[in-house]
Amino acid sequence: MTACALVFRSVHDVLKAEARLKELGYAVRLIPTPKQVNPDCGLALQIACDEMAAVVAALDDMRPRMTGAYRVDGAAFEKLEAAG
Amino acid sequence: MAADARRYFDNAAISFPKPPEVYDALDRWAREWGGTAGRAAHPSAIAGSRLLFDLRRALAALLGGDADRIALTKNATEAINVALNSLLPDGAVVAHGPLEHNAVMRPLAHLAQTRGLRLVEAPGDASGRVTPAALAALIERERPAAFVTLHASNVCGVAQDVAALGEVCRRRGVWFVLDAAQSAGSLPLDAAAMHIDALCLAGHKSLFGPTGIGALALSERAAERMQPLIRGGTGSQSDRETMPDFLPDCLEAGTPNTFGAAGLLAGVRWLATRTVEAVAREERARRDRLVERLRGISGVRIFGDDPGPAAAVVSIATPLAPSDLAQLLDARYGLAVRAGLHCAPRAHRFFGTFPAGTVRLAPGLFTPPAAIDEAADAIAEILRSAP
Repeated sequence: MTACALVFRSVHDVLKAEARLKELGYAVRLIPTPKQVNPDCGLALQIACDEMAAVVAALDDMRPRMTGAYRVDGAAFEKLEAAG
Repeated sequence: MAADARRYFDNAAISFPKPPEVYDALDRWAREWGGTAGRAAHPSAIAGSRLLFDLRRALAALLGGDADRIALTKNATEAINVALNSLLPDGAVVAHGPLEHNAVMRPLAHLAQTRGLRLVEAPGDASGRVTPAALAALIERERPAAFVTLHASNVCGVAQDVAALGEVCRRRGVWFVLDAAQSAGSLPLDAAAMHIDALCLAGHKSLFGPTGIGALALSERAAERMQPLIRGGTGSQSDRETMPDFLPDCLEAGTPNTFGAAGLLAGVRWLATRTVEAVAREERARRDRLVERLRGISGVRIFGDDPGPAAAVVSIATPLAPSDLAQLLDARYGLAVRAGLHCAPRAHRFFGTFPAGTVRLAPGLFTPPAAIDEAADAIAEILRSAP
């Protein structure tokens, strides 16, 4: 499984997305957000890349709060232009 | 010497004792986690972030709000200040109730001085309740931008008909700001159904949390207007030297009170298992018992002797000065009551008890009925022996 990650504007939003996706049965987990992606001391939500489209659809109402979608390669995040 | 819970009649100030689950949660948080919230990704910090998230959701479920629009504050006073500062334009007319606490009146007076607000008081009936018809007439005449009222009086417990007043405000496009410090947890509330734009909450009273934590629950339209009272770090948009413009971060500058949140969450969860409706019935029974016993005492004038909705708070005036009666109740019987104006001079002017005030008795959910009888007997004995 290739890992991807969603980054949100606030911790409240990350946790809201996590709670919703868990309720829907997605395997998600919180991971630290690399500083080069986000200057905050924050969290990102790791998801399976092949579930990206479905996850983003499930979080459609939260799109304004999503600041980016990334492919996770070790500690590095590669921005996915289309998904976020 | 520890406080005697059986003789504690100051629950209108701070509920005591709390449910055991609250003490357990406070202890567990302090010993096992103690982390900050929203500031890091280590387990303690994640636990702190989850704690605040869970608290917002629990408050929303209990009070009919939306967790996305709940900001945690240090108390109801801060919530009221944020709401009034954010919602009221310069020069606006603002209507308020006749029994308001200084948590409402002082910020309003300040805004009147600094931003040209004009304050108008909605008339109360004999008990201090504002009828929907009276509010509608006031709105028609004065065109206020907002109506601000307490839910339950901290002096006499009398509760406003929030659902009806909220409907009046909604129909006329008036902001509805509710000071629920004295009622949240002890009287049913549904922010959405009651059209409350800004629901201002104290954690340390009937929600059974510790002091130092409260909340502001906002309607969708009110949320768009929020402006911070204080500014500082939020753990979000940290590359900028300006505040985020989104909730809850825009209203939560500085390290959050995770310790208080742990206790408040335990209190809210405890309430949710019992239901606010059941708690309201139990508290009503205590209030009715207290009023019934006080009615039989010669020389006692009761404020809050009223069959309508009310919190478990009653005030009395007697031939003794309130401070003297309170001191005697403490010295002779170990009873903790509160004398004076209860930070609500407007309510005491309404009842004609300004400036001396009253003695307030506020039994709690854990006050045994027999202790209520003993308190009334103590008052009777003191008055019988008074010169």
